[in-house]
Amino acid sequence: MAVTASLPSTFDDWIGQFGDWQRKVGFDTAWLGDYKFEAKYDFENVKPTIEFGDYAGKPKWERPLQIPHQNIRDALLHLITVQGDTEFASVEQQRHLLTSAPTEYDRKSALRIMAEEQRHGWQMCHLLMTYFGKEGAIEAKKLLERNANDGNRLLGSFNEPTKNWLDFFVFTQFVDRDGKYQLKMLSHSAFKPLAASMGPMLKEESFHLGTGSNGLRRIVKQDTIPLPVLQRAFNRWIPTAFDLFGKDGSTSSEWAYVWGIKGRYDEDTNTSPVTDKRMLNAYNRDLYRQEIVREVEIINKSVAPGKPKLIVPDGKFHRAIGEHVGQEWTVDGQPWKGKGSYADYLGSVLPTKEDDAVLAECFKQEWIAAKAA
Amino acid sequence: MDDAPGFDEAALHAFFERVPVLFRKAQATVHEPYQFLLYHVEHPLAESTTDAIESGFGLAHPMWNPGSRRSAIELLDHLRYPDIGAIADLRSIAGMNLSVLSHYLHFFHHAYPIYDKASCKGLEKLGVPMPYTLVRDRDIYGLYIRAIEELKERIPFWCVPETNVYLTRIVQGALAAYGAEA
Repeated sequence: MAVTASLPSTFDDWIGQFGDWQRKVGFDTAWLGDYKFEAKYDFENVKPTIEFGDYAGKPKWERPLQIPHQNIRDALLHLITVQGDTEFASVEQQRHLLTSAPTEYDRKSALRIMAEEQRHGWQMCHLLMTYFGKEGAIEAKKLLERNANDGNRLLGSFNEPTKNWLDFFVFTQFVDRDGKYQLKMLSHSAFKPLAASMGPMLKEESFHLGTGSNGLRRIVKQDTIPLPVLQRAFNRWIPTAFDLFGKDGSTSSEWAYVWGIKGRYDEDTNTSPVTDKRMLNAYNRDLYRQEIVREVEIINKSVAPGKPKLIVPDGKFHRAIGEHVGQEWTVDGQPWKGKGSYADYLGSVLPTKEDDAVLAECFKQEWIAAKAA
Repeated sequence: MDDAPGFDEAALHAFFERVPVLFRKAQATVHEPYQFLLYHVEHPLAESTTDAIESGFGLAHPMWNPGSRRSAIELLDHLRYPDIGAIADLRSIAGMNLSVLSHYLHFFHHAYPIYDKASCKGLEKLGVPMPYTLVRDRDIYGLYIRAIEELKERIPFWCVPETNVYLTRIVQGALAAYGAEA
């Protein structure tokens, strides 16, 4: 069922449709208490001039009419739409978990994360409705019509079911962390309202990442959920997070850089010129991979002595985007040469039905420590 | 914000850059009890909750009268951030001063900041005089909440550490560590 058939002509119209979406998702606004949805712009911390690309040094664009040509405007519209799509999707994926939280604080944290993801979607729609005319309104409307549970959100990670609280913590640790990368890359944007949207969103995202990281450490510390089950959850979600960076050789990311609308993750500290703009997705993904390897090392400090450590799957394993799609790689990055089929191998390293049963039993016990080590 | 606190901008920017380190320093002294309380303070709130909060932070136990603790817990639990008007309705209980009360409130509703001497000193170093009083003065606590809110609003994203605690605690903890410095 479509949320509504009409195109929102004002942001207030869109807010009405957002309310319909919340009802459809089953998100009771009473849960939010005094939480107010609002668009937040931090212009104070946005650089006044374009930071990179062909327009570097010129004033950032504050209005669409200042954007030099239609291709740039279209690319911005696409970037904002994709970002907004992920925000609403994660709420659709996680909403059902509120009834099974391990503690009241975990429930509160999940609720806060869902509220903030909705605010981030709201922020993207505020940009679409304010700066992109009818095309923006069409996209803002569609953001409320696609649905993760129907599998038609724009990016793969956001159509994957978040089945339980283990998935929630893995998602917030690894997929939300990709979100941090995307937001930071956009924080350098030549389009000032987009860049100014990122600061408040990134501030809120810090809590989401902290919740995921802390949750996984608490799980490992409690030592109820078997580590192989946890590793298989990593093997499922992390490749989807790698995919979110896009193809390695990407003309879209090249043009986004040339036009100054999406930078490198470390644009503010990296003074080296970009040598191969087509490989920017790979560059940013590599920084992300290094960061999550460090995160997993921290989690491993809570692994009981003598037990196998958790690992980050190799970047070639189980990819749905890029040059490694359909190739047969092991979790640790070796060409598959084992006995039996590769499908059987995948069945052994990705979550299984047996894992669901094991987790169901674990969730009846004390499966997560009250605090991390 | 009308009549917003007048922060010393240079000191403020220097403070923001140090927030991750200052927060970790503040949290190190109470990490175990703080995390324990986050995940153990649950509804319905038991009377022992206040004991746990006091023990965790080394606070003196108030001299509760029969029934007074239950009514205080219920009153504080029903507050909705940033409202604090009802704290004036609390009965006088020896030892339940503004600082102790703010610790309870923080663990009942995590957006309420802990009010302590070091954090007030930290605000003063940032150019915002903030009296430290043991009297349950809602005006002073209201002013304190507004100052913390402005810090939450203005802190740049790159100064916010990734953690499972609320931004209120990050900012207030950092302020306390900052205020405690010579």
